[in-house]
Amino acid sequence: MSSITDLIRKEIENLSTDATRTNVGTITTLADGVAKVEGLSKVMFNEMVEFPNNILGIALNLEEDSVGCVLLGDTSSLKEGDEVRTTGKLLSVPVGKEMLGRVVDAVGSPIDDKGAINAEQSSPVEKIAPGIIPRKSVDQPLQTGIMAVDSMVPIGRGQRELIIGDRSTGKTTIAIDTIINQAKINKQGEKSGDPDFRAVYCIYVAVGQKNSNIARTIKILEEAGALEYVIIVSAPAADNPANQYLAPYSGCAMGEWFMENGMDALIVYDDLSKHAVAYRQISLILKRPSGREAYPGDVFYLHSRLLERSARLNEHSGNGSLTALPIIETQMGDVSGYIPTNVISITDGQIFLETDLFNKGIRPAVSVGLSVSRVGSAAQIKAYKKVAGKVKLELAQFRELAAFSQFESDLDASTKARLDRGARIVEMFKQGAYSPIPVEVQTAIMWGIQNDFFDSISVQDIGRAVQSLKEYLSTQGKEACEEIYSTGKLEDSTVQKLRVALDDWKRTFA
Amino acid sequence: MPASSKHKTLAKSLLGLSLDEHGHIVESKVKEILSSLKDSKISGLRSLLRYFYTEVRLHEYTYHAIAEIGCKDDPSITNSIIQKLEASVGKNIRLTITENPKIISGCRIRLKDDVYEDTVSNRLHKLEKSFH
Repeated sequence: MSSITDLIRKEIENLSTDATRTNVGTITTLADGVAKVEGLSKVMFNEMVEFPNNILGIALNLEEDSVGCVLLGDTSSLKEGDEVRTTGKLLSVPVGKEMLGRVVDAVGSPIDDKGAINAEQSSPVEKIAPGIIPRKSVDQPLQTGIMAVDSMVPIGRGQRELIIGDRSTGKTTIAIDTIINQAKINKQGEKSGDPDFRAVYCIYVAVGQKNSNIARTIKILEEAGALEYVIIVSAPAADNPANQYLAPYSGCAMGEWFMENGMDALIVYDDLSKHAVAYRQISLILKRPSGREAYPGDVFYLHSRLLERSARLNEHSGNGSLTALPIIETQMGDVSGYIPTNVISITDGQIFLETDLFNKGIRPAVSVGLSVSRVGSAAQIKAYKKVAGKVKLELAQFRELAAFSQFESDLDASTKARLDRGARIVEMFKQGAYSPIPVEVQTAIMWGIQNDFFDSISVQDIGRAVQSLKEYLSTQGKEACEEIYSTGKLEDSTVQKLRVALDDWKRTFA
Repeated sequence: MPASSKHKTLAKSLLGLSLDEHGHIVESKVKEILSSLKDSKISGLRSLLRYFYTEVRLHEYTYHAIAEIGCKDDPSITNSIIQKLEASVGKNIRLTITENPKIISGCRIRLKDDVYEDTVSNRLHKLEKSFH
């Protein structure tokens, strides 16, 4: 009891008793989460403003005689004529490791019924991206655990890699798989006690999605034991457009905290098409001039200022990184749409998912021709680089030859060999959802296919063979994989061990 | 020049004609302007009147202070508030005082977009916020 009275006494003693001067305004119109306010003559752009009942808003439109504010939270209690106050602060969200394992809304308030978040720090939602000087080239891999991605479009820590495709082509699955793989690697690294191990913390920002989809994602992450390394920022379709507009920036502020404190983080924006739509809604209500497809003129800046905040910092700046995986939904496979081309030009590469491949059962449906990583093999461990170097070319040649060979009855030996190899690679890359493969196992499988261990196995049996080899490598063939994991290289001795292990496996595989 | 911008500029000029030497709005001058506008049959009169109304209203805020006090009005309080406001703003101020028991004690003055507040209710509100 005495501690409570002490606390109250302390707060009263610290309380300022000076008269305050506040800049205020009055709501003149209120619609769809946006308020037009008269007054607020001293408000600054992007400043947080306070409405009655502790409802917050952000000043987005500064006009000659009014201010346009987006409202955050439940606006049903507000009415015309209510007083609005400036706060002199930018909108901030809680940041730190305390946020891990929690589901929060666009302003960082918990929505998971797990109680209050005791975060000690907060960070502004809008921040200027790191400049050139504190940055460093991307050279550390971020393993997604998806063979098709890690081998052909490798992603590095600090990179921005777009995941793009039509609806229901597995875009979210790739992102979730990557998060699950980070959690697995984190657990393995923490268990090993390696002082040089750098965990990757994840932020998943759900924008404009159905609540049921977000709940499903949370369940998947929980079941995979990955939630303890993840912060989920949720702004579902039912939320007002202001929250949907803000959520990616809030998530980014949380991710930046890890980067600025010398840690590695991964952020998934699912998805930026819906984010652009939310921004379009706000802009139209604010009566901003509209441009192509009714998007406002600054829709490019909306995404560029967000994605530029993902970076790899150099040693002087703490050596942290923030990797971004934005997701964009295309219509009928059209990558030349307004928002897709914008985001393609901002990011360091894209993973394009094709509906046709997905429907053929080739999952993940990564299109070899349209997918690219501008970081390339700099973001691969040496061992993997050695075995996966030619695979993209082989697969691209296969797709081309397969198209032509449909009309040919008699094929020469080299074409036939390329087609055989390509068909096997396609089968090898087929991978179930939420089952990422560790990089050392991927290396061993790729080494096997490059060294003709799968040539005698029929194409239909490749999937079964890969599964059997994975199981074998986790038991008897463990030694070679452990060596790849610890050294990251494919030395002669490791190759020897791999050869022995794969020979042995081949004998057991029927 | 679009019609709305033209009306805005015209409304500003009309406001200038409605002021006295202290910069206060004179009711008789406003009435005179309104009657002449009515007779002139100018196009877009409704829009012009809307802009004129906004200009008059916003201008009035610049010298018309509204004070809320927790106790009963007293001429000494009124004079003291007016003197202090005029000293800080540097022009003649018109003051309307209302009694608001919700503020418990103290004074809350709104002049233009600024609110000067030293009330018990505000201090309690600050204390409440500090506990969150």
